[in-house]
Amino acid sequence: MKSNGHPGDEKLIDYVDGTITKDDRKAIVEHLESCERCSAYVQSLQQIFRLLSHDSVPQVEESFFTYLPQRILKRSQASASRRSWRFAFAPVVAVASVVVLLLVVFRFPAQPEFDTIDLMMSEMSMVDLIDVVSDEDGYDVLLYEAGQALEPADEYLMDETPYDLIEALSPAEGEQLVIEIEKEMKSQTSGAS
Amino acid sequence: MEERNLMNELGRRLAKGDEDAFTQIVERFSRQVFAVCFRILRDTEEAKDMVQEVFTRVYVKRKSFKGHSSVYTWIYRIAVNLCLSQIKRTRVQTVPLDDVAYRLASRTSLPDTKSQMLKDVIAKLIEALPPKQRAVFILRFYERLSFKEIAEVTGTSIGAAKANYHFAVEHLRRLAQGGEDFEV
Repeated sequence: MKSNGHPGDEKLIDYVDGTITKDDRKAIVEHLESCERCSAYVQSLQQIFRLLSHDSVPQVEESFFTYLPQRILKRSQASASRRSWRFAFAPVVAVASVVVLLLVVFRFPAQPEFDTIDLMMSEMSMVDLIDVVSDEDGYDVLLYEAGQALEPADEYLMDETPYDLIEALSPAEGEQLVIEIEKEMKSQTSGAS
Repeated sequence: MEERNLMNELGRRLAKGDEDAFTQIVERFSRQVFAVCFRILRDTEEAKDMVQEVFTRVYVKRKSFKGHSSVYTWIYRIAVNLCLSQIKRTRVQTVPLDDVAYRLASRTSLPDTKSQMLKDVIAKLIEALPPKQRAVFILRFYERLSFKEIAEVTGTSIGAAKANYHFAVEHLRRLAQGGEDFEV
């Protein structure tokens, strides 16, 4: 009992909860017979306990619980195996990546852009240039540069500037022109030698 | 008591990596874990996901179970911690307690136990408790754990576990009688 003669709310909660010694229980029962305040408090506790005791847990399909262990084992083992795979192959993947990187850097140096075509023209033969330039945009640039280079020797280009002529060509015609230019260059080279 | 001794024996085997022990623990204990998760979260699907998560953790961490506490308090601890994190992460809500109090006060006897209204009232009362008090109340009131076990589950002292329970009960009593809004 507290100094004011009441047992205290915690003690009354323990009394309703059933976690109290025999002696305390006896003292509280006696007190409740004569104390309206504590008696009303205990009644309100009993009411809320009674209400909450009706709380039900929803039914879940039995298969959820039956297959739960298998599902968890399967999931955990799959994730463990993924982890171990990663651990096992991590060094191999790292070494392979370094090798590929080295190959790319040393075996295939970066190709120059086509805006450096003038520089290329000065250093490469037309045949080399055709090998390097394989896409359609490249052909356009190449044809222009080739026309410029051959202008003085080419009768085809007498009436129009090479740029106008090449603009008017389809890709197939352009390709044909490159072949023609190539032939012309070869014949010039063999004639000179 | 026999059931608990068996669970502890299964716990010892589990700590050695015995998968058969794990399967038996899940079979024996998953419904109880579901009940706790449901009562804390108040959502069936979330509770089902949580049960799966709890036992996945149990499996993954099985070798770290030292047996200082019983295996079921260890599992309850994982479940309660995960549920409280889930509440923290996903919910900040205000429960209109006027509504709860009005519904209770407007009846002279307890409502039909099967009615949806009763479920709603109970759900609102429990949801109105702060998460830790909610967990302690559920472990004591529904799971009938001792305060020593609740202290192990919640990682507090026995005194703190008792105090939380007393606060929760007083909180529920007041909520059922009159209303103010509480943030959960």
